[in-house]
Amino acid sequence: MATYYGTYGQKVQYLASDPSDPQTGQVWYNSTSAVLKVRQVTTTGTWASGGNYPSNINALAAAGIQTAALAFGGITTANVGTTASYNGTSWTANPTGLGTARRALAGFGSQTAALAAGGFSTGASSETESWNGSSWSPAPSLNSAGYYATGVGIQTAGIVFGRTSTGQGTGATESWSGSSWTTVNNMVTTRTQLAGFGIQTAAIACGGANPGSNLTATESWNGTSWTSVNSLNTGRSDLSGAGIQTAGLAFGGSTGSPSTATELWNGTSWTSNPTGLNTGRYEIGGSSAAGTQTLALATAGNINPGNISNATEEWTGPGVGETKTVTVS
Amino acid sequence: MAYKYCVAECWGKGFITHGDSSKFQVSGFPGNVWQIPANSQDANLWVNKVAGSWKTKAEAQAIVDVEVTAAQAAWDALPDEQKQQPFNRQRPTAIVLE
Repeated sequence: MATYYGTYGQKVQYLASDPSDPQTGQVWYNSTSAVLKVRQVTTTGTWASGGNYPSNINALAAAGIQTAALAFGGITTANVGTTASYNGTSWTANPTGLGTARRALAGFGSQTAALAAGGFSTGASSETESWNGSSWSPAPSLNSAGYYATGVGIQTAGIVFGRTSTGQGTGATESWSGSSWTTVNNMVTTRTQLAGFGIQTAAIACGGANPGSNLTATESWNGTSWTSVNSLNTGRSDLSGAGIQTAGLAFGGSTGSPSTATELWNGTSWTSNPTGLNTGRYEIGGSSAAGTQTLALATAGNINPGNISNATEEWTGPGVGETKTVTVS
Repeated sequence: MAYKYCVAECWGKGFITHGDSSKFQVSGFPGNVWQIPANSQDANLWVNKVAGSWKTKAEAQAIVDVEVTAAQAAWDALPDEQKQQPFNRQRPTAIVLE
């Protein structure tokens, strides 16, 4: 019979407390709690509650990572410029917000250096604002106004793609140099209310809408042009994305009703996670959300048309180490 | 699958943990209504943890209906021009709990 010593090369340790840095496959007996424990790697991802956003809100934008995120703009009962920071536990509203209150805007960057572009204020906006960690400053406008675009990148190098100003989606793509916008090649599929992730030279666009349709279409951007690639499993609009071109995540959205769907992109195709968001919703902050494929953040959104949430959910993807108690009965 | 229902207000971090999500599916609905599997000890313990108030399916449905009806009334009151905008394109639809 195989033994733990024979397989792993070590004895099961007898410890008063869990090791501070256990290795995958390591087994130990915790003498304080009198349980056998093992370090393993998760095979599926899960969503858990995070700190509530300061208000019920939807159609906001986001930047940063799960433990250092920024959310801005959106709509409560009216368009807002509210800007709030997340530290991995709770949200703190900044004393000042966007210069122009708006919703359905694109956002990207980090918690301390972000960009807000376009959106809907009193109409379709082309305004761009730059965040320095404490306040927003005006920056050169997009070449074409629109809302429900998505944006990816860092404050000094990003792209914004898709949008609408009439209700019809467009394939418009603009590249941000840090000081100006340049119109570049359109997406293959015109759309609005899509998600995206990646960087200025390597991005993914997925899902979205044109009137009457929720799209599965996915496209890959190589810095110059878009190419159609394998589609989402669940067509939906107003979804969110996080990650990089070769390891991404798409979650939430609307299929006609709020979706919990969570899908992982491996650079070639999408795989549906067995479980989704704990609460189905769309117009989460933001179309390019804070985080990565492994650790992402879903902030607020609509849990049904007209029912707006302040709940945050934190994603931990597959492949993350976790300590489990071994049970034998 | 059979479900049970409770009402609980999400307080934020720790309300639903990754450990909870890995053991059973919690599904949220308007009105702070939460749906959990009917035959899960872990789910029952979660309801206890969040100080949830148990509801029958009919009671839970009534709470959700109140929220949806209010949202529908708000949508119906919008001017036609606003109803055409992408933001308001969909009248809130009824949610039927399983």
